[in-house]
Amino acid sequence: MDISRRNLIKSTLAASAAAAAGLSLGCKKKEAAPTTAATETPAATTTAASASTVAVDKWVKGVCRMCGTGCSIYVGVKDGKMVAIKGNVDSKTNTKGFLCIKGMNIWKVAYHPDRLTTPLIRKNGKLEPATWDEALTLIETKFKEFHKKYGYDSVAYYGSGQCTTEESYTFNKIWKGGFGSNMMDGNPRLCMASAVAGYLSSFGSDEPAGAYEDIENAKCIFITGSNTSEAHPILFRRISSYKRQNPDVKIIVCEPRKTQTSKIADLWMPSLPGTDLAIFNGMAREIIKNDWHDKEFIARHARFTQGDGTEASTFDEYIKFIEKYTPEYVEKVTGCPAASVKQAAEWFAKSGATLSLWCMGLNQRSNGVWANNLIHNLHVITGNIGKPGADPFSLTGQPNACGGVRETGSLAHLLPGCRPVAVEPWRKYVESYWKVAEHSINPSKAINPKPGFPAVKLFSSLGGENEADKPVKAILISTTNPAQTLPNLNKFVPNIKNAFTVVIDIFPTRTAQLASVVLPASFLYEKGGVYGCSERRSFLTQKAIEPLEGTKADLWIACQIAKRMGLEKFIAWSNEEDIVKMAEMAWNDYIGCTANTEKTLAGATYKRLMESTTGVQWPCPSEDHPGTYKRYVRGMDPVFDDPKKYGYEIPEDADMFFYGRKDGKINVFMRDAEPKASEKISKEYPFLMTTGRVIEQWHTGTMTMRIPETAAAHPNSYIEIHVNDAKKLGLSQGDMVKVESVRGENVLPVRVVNMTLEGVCFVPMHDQKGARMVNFICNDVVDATSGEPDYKVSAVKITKVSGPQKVDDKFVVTKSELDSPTFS
Amino acid sequence: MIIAASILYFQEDHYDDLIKLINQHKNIEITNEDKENGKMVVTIEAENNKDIEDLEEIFHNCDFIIDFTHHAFYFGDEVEKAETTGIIPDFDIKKPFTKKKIL
Ligand code: SF4
Repeated sequence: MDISRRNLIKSTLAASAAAAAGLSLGCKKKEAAPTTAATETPAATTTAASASTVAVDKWVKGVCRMCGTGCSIYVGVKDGKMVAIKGNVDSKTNTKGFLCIKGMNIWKVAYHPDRLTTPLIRKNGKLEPATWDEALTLIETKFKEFHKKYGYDSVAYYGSGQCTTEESYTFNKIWKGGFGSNMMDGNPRLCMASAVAGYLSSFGSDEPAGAYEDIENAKCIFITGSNTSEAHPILFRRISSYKRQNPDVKIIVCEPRKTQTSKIADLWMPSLPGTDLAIFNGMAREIIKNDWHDKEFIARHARFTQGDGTEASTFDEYIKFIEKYTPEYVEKVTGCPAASVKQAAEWFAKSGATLSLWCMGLNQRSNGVWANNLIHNLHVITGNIGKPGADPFSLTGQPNACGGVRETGSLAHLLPGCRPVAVEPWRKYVESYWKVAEHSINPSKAINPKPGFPAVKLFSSLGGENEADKPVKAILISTTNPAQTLPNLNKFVPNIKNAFTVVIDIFPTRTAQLASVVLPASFLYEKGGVYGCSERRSFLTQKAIEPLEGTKADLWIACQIAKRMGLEKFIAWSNEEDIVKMAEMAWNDYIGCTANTEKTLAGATYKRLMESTTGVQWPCPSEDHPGTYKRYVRGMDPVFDDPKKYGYEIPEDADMFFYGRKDGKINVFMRDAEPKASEKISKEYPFLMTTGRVIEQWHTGTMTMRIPETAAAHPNSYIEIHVNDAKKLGLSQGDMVKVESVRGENVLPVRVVNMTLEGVCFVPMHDQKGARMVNFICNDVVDATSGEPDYKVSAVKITKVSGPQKVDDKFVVTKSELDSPTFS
Repeated sequence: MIIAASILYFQEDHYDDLIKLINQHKNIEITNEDKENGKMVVTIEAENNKDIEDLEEIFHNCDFIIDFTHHAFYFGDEVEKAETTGIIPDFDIKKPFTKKKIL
């Protein structure tokens, strides 16, 4: 690159960084700047505009898709290629436009030579190249055959929190409205279904009341079941810089491991995996005992309840219920010091504004919904809801789990607007909005009132035609990798292989290895679409570059299937050629469908989303509405302006009203801490294993293990063992051990640490190498309400296999391995 | 080659120390600064991300650096390489990799 061009590029990027830092372009430049040569200093006289055109032809806005935070970016395009990335300075998510290493490297995914570019059909056991028409014709034939032979529920869909909202909505409409089948679920079932059920059972309406903005308004931040520093790096940056500027703000971290997140904490509360419910009840007891509870808020907004929420109870009964959770008892059950429980309770209750943040650590549990309920309890009894900085806020693991899956209702039991399919008035409304009676290919001409199967049950019920006990014969899997992410994989891998499985993905994956048909997908920036992140904010990624040759957008694929299955008119955008237009039509259909729910994005038209640099938070009922930072508060939440429109009743004098429940109150549950179905250690399996994430990788590593930098930083899984346990087992750093549960085993290198509790070990979940895929070990027991599996508590034994071995192979499934799924 | 535009937040009374530190790295240029409020925009030329992460490590280890964040990356040359060679640019794996800091 010649020097002048290089300098112009630097000027462009620097101007943008200066804006991000709040420095004016006129700022005095460092005269004696330590440049390589005076001539190499960016030309001060260059205008930003001219520099900009040298670096890129255009900046196209979008969302980073490499974790659940939902950072907003600009993709720089030159000659039709992605050549630069910068953070969006206007962003409300990654404030100041900061990005982390995964976001900066997204281009390496787009241009990776492993990208799938041809449809593949399995013939005689081998996946062979096919044309799009051949692949789609086979799918059509099989789906029609199975519908006829085994009924409409024999063909399933399994989606993802990484599909765009338009894609998820379209698949949902095809299945539930077009096929009359609710046999569709998505990978958010594996990550935040317990949060959904938690909000629904406590508040009567899904998703948080607050937003990321609460971070900078909080006086106490309670982080539990979340290693935010690694799983949501840019949010953690927000939290840590806020803490740095406001040292009086208290940060409490409640986690079995002393992770990087704990480094900024004033208090780390360790807990044995699966036991933290006792801590939450213990904190509640301490709060009430010390008279730190908010009596007025409780009187106005709390409804005490026993059992599943149907049975009303009283505050006195609640006090009696939590009485046994003395700090000493909690210490005994959880390993968390009694003094820490007392301290946490005080800070939580007395700070003035407490924000709780949690993620998989609470959700991926056999008692995940209960854990969520108990966090909500703490907020209710302390009045920490509905004011700046105070909120129980669940973080999601994927950038479009909220917008794409929860809000569009793309789970087995939901309809758009996140309302249950079993609720007749809403089902009838959706039927009529979609004109199901006119278009459905199912003779019932109706949406099935019976929920389909949640993920684990769905994959248990999946199988070949010769398996009479497996009613689901075919599955279309988009943008997710269940052959690596499901728990107790030994049980599910054969099912995926035996069924007629169609996989849509950008790279070869473990699931693609088992597929009957593989369809090569376009990457987000090659198609565009809306993502809605944890804070109810929908943001449009605009198509930046043309799709890689041979690939197609999932929305196009959905439309082709709709057309071939006789749903051409039902999916009105299926005849559209332009993918952006298609997406706009799907979006308009979606926001029309949900306009009368509190999830309304009726005001977030495509035009507005195209122009907006911040995205829009629901409820947003009209184009002139700014979107909503706080729900349930009069003057902020537009539902208060016309509650009847949304099917609610709100008293005119109510300033705060939790309209999801008829009485406007939040359920305070009496949930016992005893893990209902969590696995217990035994003589044979004496360790509790928990799983989780590392900053460099994401999900099954299909993208991040292909980025050289992130792959090198985390090239393989390992097992973290406490130093005292390692001594007892005679293990040294790097030794290879067999880790076994009753379900399966891994062989992993040992990492001896002192940041976990004795008896507790940890394995990251990203590795694709069969012998290191931790989900062979994990438990497939699910939360009884949410159907979410318990990845966090497995009883294991650990035995030494050998001394250190070289296993940093950065393993990924390649195209040549698509036919040999050895899983070893 | 990658070009990054990054922001340094520093303790204002350590401005001279920061300049000394920057002077040790020929691939860093200061483009804008706000001495009074402890902010500075720099551009970095690097062979790869690893070089940038090494710099991060050095800067993060200085007490007077409050934060060092990246705002924008230019990687046009790397895309060209990836497209022509089919190889995604890597760093020199002979150098030991230091796990980057989170903050
Ligand atoms: S924090 Fe997540 S969304 Fe933000 S840049 Fe990093 S990977 Fe992307």
